[in-house]
Amino acid sequence: MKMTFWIYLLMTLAALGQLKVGSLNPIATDLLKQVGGEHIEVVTILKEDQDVHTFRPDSRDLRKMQKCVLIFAMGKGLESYLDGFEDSLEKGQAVIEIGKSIPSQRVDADPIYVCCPSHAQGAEDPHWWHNVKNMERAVKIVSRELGKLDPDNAKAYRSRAKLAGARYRELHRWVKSRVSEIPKGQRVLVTPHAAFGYFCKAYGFQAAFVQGLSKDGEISAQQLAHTIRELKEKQIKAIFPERLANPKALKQLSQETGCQLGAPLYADSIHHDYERTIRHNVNEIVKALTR
Amino acid sequence: MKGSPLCAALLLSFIFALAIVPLLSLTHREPQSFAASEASGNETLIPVLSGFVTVRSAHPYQSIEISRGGKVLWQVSEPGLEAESELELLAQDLLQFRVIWPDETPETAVFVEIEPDGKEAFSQTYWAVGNLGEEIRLDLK
Repeated sequence: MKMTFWIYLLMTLAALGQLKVGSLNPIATDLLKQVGGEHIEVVTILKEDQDVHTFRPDSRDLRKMQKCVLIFAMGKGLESYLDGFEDSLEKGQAVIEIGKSIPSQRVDADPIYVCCPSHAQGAEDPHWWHNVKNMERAVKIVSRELGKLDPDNAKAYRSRAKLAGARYRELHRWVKSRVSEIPKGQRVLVTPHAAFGYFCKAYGFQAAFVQGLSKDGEISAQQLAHTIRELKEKQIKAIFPERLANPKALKQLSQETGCQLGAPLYADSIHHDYERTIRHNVNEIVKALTR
Repeated sequence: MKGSPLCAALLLSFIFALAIVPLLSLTHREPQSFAASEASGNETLIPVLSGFVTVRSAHPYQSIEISRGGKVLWQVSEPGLEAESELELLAQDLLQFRVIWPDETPETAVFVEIEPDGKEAFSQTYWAVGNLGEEIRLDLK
């Protein structure tokens, strides 16, 4: 009993010295934990199973963020509610868009997915974390911002960022090596929405996504016929559903074309942590395209 | 004694003598310092972007230096294999990149990467023996 009390007291004292920072995305949370370690407490408002494109913070979320001086967003328009959110912040609070410091790519794939303007051809693609190299830069950005806010621990943030950067460098090499197992002509990534542009550019894939899918995963008969023809013509081996998206139309496409239906990929969500998310996606892509 | 003209004159001379030291340093600068001051005048025009610089060497280096127009922006004098720092960059920048390795280091490779905020990274691997001096030209417009 006495021991428990002392442990509790020590934990409370440690928590009192922690810097409270906010995160609007589980990937940003993972980044913050890696760089901030025991020096920060991260408050996250988007859960792993919530759709980042449709999420809007409610009053409870805003209250949770009240004690955070810095709030980290992925940026590049991923958090479409960000302008209103910033207006609701109190004096002294600031939002850091990590993606602002990452080079941008435009949505570039054959068909146009019409769910929302952020996925239209030519729009700024917000899914920058699918290129692991960008995460290496992201840890430096997080370390810089935490260091500005908390200069006493700036050295610790820098050294943790360096370690995290080395892990991402290794992960980037691993992705390249795994992808090299897929014959070049088969490196076509067909997904329900344009979330893998950065991944495709970094690792030598052609990006394609299924045209005309509704938000519910439905597709019109005319679009279905067109897509079946396209998939057959291009001899696509596999199509990949996404977590948090309805796979109904993709299942139908798979049955009609003989294309394999790959395991669902994490496009906007996360699988425990960033590294496991990337490893899961790459393993499933390689498995389906080398069969 | 208090109002003596001799004392007043002595006090005045003492004050002049004290003032002459900073005046001399202002008016008798080395020509080199003028050049540096001109260079720094140019630099302060537009420090447009923040960025990161990373250097990785295959063999332990002795020192690393990045400068612009003679002004040192970043210096590492601790031996090591890897170093990184933040760096302020100009829209059109010309940086001098120097690495020195200890004697008897064989021909070795050094990787430098400069990541300006929001822009594509510049990265290059150089090979050298003993020391390296390269110019890095960046166009960040």
